[in-house]
Amino acid sequence: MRAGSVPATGPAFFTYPGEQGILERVMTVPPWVDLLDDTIRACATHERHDLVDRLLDRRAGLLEPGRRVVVAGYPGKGKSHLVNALVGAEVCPVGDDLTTLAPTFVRHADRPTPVLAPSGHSPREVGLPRALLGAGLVLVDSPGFGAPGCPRTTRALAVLADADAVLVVTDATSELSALELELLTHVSRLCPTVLVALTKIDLVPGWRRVAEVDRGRLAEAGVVAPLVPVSSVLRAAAVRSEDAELNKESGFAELIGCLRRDVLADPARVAARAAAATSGMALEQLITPLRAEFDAGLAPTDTRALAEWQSAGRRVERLQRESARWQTQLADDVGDLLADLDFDLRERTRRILREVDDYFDAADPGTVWEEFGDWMHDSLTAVAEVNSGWLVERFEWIATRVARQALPGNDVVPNELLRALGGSWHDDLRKPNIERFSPAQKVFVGLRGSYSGLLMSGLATTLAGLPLINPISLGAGAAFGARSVFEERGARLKRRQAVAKTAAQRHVDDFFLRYGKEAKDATRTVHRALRDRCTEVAHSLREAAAESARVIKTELEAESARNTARLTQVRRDLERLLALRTRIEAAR
Amino acid sequence: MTDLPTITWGLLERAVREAPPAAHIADDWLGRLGGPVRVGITGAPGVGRSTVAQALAGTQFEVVEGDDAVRLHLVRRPDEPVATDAVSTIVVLARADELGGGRVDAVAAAARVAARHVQGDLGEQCQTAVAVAALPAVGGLRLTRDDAAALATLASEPDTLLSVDRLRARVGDALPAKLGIFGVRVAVELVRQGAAVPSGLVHHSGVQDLLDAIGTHFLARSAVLRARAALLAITPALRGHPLSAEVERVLASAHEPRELRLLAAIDAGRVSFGDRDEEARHLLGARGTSPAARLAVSGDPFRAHLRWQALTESPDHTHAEQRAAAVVARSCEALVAVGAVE
Repeated sequence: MRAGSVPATGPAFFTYPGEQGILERVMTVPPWVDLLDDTIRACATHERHDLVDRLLDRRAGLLEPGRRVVVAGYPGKGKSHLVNALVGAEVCPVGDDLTTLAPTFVRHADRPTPVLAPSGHSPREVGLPRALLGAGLVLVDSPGFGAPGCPRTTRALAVLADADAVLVVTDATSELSALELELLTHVSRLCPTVLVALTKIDLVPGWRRVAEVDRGRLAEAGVVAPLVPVSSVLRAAAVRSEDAELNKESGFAELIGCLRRDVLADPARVAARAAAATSGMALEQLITPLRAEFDAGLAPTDTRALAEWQSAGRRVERLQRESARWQTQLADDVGDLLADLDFDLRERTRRILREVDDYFDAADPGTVWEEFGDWMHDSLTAVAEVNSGWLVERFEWIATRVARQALPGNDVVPNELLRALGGSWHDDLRKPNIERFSPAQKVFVGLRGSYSGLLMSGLATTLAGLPLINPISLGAGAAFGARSVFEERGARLKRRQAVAKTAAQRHVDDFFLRYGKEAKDATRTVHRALRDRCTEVAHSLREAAAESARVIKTELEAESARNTARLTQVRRDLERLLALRTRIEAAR
Repeated sequence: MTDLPTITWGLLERAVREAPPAAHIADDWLGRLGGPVRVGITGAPGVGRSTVAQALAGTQFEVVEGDDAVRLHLVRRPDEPVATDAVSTIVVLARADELGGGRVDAVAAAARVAARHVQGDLGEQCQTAVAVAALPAVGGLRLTRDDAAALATLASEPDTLLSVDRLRARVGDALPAKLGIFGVRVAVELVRQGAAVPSGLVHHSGVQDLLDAIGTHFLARSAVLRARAALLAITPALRGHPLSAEVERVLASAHEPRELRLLAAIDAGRVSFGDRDEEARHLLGARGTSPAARLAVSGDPFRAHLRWQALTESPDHTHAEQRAAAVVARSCEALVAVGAVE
């Protein structure tokens, strides 16, 4: 563009060739646009597309010529009536009940544009040739507020969101209610340029008192807004009769003065304040969650994970302690068991031996040996069975106890181990050498006895004159022989019994030694197997616990690292947003 | 069928004898059932309860500020929520002149607004809604000779009536304070027409409508309404007492309150049986609760019962209308039983 083509309205004295374009931009783009754009970018960065859309709409609205003054308030306060009175024409429908359902935009037009009957809730546009509107004012009549969340309220709030300035309407028949004050507070946050019109002053004798009370309440609520008492009825009458006095009474002169001063005198400032308020609210929505996140981040990291980690460490320690304890216990138990086993075996075998003694005091081993051998075998087998059964039982108990301590939760009672318990014993009773008293021996013993008897009595009878061999000596010899045989038999039986007892004794001792040794060996083997197994399981448990503690610790560390990174990020974002907010505050 | 007041009398007497915690309440109500009707006035502060009470002074019923067996609930706007017992409540659109900007026809306009709302949600919360500007009615009875003179002067000065400020500047504070700008405008209009000012003010202020509504909805059926209020009043004190179940049963099955609700719905136009509306009103007791008055249009109660019973299953009617027809049929049923006794 050449310097010569600068429009007449442009700042010609700033312009020289080559820089005109930049300068034109500097001069025509208001500074608040940068702030708004920065806010939009910040919203986009934080993925708040809803805010981005709203701000873009707002930006477009603010860049449009003409400042929108939204007339807002609760129903029945006379909003539409006030708009009509302001422009001196029936542009908005008025009635005694809820009348305004859709917003009406009243703009400047060279010729009155016809008012179309509103269809549903779509906004209506009206054009009027009025100086006030021509100065760049757009009046928006909005539906009255209703219950929170009802469609009418939503529509009213939607209109408010695009306001450059707000004219809140209340009436003199009652003082500002809590709800109205809430609305005013909300409005002044949304859009800082606020005016309050107190309508119906033609109706209420005490309107001056109401106006004072309302001003006090506004100040209390911290809402900076001038309150102008007006009467739409008087204004309408004044417009009809072109009565300046009446117009002054209606308060509209002052209201229009206020509008000119606060809105039209510096429209750029109004737009800047509205933009700042909107940006500020959007920023607040970005800052609040970030700040909450930042505050939460400053608190100690995930306490649950930390507690898990500590409990895992404690578990490892506990497992180690327990391992030492149950090993000692197992050794003690097995020692006791071996002593008891020895005693039990000895006790049982002694009892057998006593029975054997009793038995062989009477019985002749020569005749009953076979029978005795069977009995002995059965008895010892029974002893072995009872003893090993008892052993298995005791060991099972020990193993269960140890397993409960060493392998908590692991239901590993090593049953298969126990099967190896007890000793095996198969030896049969060896038959001792039992001398039989054979007939030849009997004859020999008899002869030896009878010989001496014969000799003794023969010699004695020779003194009596009898021959050496006489009937008496023969009789004595026979008697002596018989007695010898008898005595010899008795002595032999005793000897046989003694031999049998000794043999039984030796056999039982053998059994005691051999079976006892085997049983003890087996017990020790099983003890070792059990110990090894439990150690192994306990070890793996310990390993798992240690591993889980390690994993939790790693996770904690990673989490903490992530948190730190996130916190740094959040802090950076927050700082950036707070800086932007400071700029916005300055622009207000 | 024994009617609700008789049953209530019996229950209250039993409560006096058998239920000590409820005895003094029951005794109190036994006394009140025979006395004049008491109409309570409720509403937010500043809505003008005492002005309405003054406007209703000197009638055959007692007016008390606060809740009672039947009540007028004062609201500023017809869309304000009303949380009370519908059958014993009339909603009063108080300070109705302000709704219409103090125009001469403001109260009439407000009455139309109220009627429109009664057809909708408001009708579910009350028997009816009446627009009232009580101040002119009260003030109209206290007009002095000076006030009358001032009104006569004002008749020729329409500009003075434009705003209350102008009015006060012209005639002082007394008259506007007494009548309000609306009252002054109406009074001036009445003076111009040569009509009586105080009675005209009562008429234009809607107080007469309110009295009519109280007559129709409260006084005509006061026995039923007070019996119901008495039972509701002793219910909390009877908690845990064997009598409580019986009181609850009576309250739940009482037919008269349903009749009253249906009458209100027919009057407001929420329910309609076309040309049978008049017969329904008679049967429901709107023109008198004696069997003869109820049967004035229908004739034979048994046939009426059959006709209305048929409506409850008629596919030409909406569910709400079918339910309403069932209420009428139930009234006919009671009349059949009475006829048999006679």
